[in-house]
Amino acid sequence: MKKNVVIADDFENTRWVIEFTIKNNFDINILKAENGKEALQYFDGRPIHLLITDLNMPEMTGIELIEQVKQLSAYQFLPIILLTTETDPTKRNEASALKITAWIKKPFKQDEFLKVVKKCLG
Amino acid sequence: MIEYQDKYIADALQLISNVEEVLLKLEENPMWNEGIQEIFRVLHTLKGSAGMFGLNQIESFTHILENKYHLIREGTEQLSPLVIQCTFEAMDLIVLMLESKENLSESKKQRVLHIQQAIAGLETQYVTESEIFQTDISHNQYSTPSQASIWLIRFIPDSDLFMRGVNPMGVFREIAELASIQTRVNFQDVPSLDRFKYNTTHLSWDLIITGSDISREAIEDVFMFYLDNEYIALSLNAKDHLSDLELEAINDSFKDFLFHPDEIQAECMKLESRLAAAMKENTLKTYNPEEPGNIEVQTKKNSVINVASERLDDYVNLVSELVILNSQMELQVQKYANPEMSKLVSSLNKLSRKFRDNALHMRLVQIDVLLVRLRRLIRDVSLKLGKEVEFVSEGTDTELDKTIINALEAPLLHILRNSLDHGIETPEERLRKNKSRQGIIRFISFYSGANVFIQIQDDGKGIDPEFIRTKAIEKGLINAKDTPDKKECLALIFAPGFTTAETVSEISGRGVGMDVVRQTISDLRGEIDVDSEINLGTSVTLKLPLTLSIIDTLMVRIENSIFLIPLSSIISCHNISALQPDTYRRQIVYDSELIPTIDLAEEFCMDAGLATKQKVVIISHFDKYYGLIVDEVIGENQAVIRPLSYFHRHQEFLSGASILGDGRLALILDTTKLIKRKILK
Repeated sequence: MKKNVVIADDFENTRWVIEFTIKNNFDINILKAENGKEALQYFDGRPIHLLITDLNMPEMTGIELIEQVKQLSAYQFLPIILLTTETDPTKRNEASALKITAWIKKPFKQDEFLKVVKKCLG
Repeated sequence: MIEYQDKYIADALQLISNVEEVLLKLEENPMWNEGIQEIFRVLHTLKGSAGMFGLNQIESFTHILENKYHLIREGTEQLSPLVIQCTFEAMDLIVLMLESKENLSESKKQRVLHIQQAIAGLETQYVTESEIFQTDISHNQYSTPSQASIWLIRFIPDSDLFMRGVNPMGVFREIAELASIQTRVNFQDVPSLDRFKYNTTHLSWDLIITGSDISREAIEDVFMFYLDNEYIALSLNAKDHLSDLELEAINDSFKDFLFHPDEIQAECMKLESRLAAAMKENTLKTYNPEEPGNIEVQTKKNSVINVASERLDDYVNLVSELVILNSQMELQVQKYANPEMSKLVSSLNKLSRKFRDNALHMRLVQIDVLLVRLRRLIRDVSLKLGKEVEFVSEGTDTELDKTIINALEAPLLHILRNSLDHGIETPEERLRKNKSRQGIIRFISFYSGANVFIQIQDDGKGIDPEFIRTKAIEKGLINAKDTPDKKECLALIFAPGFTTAETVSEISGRGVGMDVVRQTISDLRGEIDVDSEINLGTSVTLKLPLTLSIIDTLMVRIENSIFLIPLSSIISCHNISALQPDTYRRQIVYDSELIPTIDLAEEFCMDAGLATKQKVVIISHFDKYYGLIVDEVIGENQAVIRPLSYFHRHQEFLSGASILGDGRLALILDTTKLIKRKILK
């Protein structure tokens, strides 16, 4: 069975770039969402192997999404990659407290991004 | 996507070998303009497609080279040996990258880096030739292990490790890819069962990593997901085993390290001797500084040789001559009845047959080379038309003559375009008809006798014969009185000028389609047939000969002339008197069925009257039988097809000529055309 990866980002372009990059390198199923709320709907009990989320999104931010997902016992060990343009250390610390797996600063380099995704997918 | 990528890689490797050839010529003659053009063109192609597949590294440095060649082309700069050298290097680099994709070994990575630097240097113009020369030497150095390194690592993950979504096994796996690893686990912190928490590790590890050239960056990379306080890494230099300072460091920060310093020392020595052995091996194999595994890859590659198609044509022609000569010899031997001679000739016969088969096989290509383009067309057209189509292919390993494959591309594309445009319905229409949303187009190919069949089936709306008839009357192709049966109606779509489209679209409907398709197929000595059921779909069948230049035929005599009938279409031969001939209706009874006959002598105005005729040859044409009446059946003949002269090329019933063993000329009958003209008319 293919692994499922959830991508949450409010920019269609970013979603597309991530999907293209990942699909080009891994045989993986991609679930796309425009905001945290949409992304959360994917966490309905199905196996999910990685969440890649933006920090600032309308409706529900990345931080809120991560908090919600972490509440669900089925997904408490889920690897999470946080994408952000944020360089403000306080915001960063706030997210670190949420226990995420890795940070990636946007715009990212394809090989750097793939390295992290590969590690997360094991 | 993966499939396209493989195709890209195959194409790219082909392009690269072209470039290398051109470069070699350019080295001798740097002013050769076409050569520079060619390289510019190839670099441009490589760059474009590399970008599409996310091979950004290739994209970036081919870009630099492309710019360079652009300037040279414009005459602003000269083609220097330096540029040529860099281009060669770049080609090597692309091959390396393409073949190993992401799994580049450490030594190769170094090499890649050096070539990249050299190419980047081209842009800034600071690199002199001696520097390039130096980089040349240096990658030899890099490919041999130079620095034995040993790392001690203390790995104590935080208790929230699992909650962060990190799997510590990844660390061990990645190190194992990098170097050899020794590890001991510290169980001390594992609590008793009642205090055991399932979401924490409780464990910590001590590791010794030994290998060559392991940088701190590499280690940090492995521990990317861990905070600084979760691991300590200490680098030791194995060269002089352990210095006092290092021993002190071990005692200090790795006080309770699970490995004893003596063990570490032993590990160092082991590493040293291993590297020394590797070094020795490498100097022995100076011709191949890469890993030994590479040799295997290269020999495998050499087992395929690309031959220019003209040379292959020459070869086939020569073999054809040999076959002719051989049959002439056979005839002579029969005349003189020399047993020694006939033994020799029969071996020669066997040999020339083998030669023939061999020559034909060389020209055979698997049909799947066409599929990439077909898929691409389906994708593009179905998107444009807003239809959903699944493409299924079967028997794509069927082989056909290269010339046939090349000639097939356009007709197949045309047939597919028709299926997509006229056959498959829009998703909404399909749902209304209780069909699945997605249409299916099947591409099936298989062997049958000396022929290859290709079938393209769709599950679309099919062709309405009545509709075809009305349209054909409208276009004046048939008379309003005519009442063709279904098969004949369907055959009308191959008539010149036939179109059902009300408006001419970009995709189909200009009415120059199917008749051109039929023409192409019959030029290939093939046949085309269409079958359709309304609302179930349409299937177009192509019947093609395996090869074009040599065929097995039956030699027959009509009056004083010899004719050849392709064996592939022949079912059987009979005495005509045994088949209850009806001279008036020109029919005979075969297989308890009345079948039409053609009197070839009459057809060719040589004689008339059925009475003198002896034999009938039964041939099949798309599941129907027909009889050809001849004077005598002589025997089998392997005919080398020669085209007819300019003046005779446009006649109807002959597909070519062949020279017989005794030097006489025999004409080869085109049974398909014959039947279509005489009987289906």
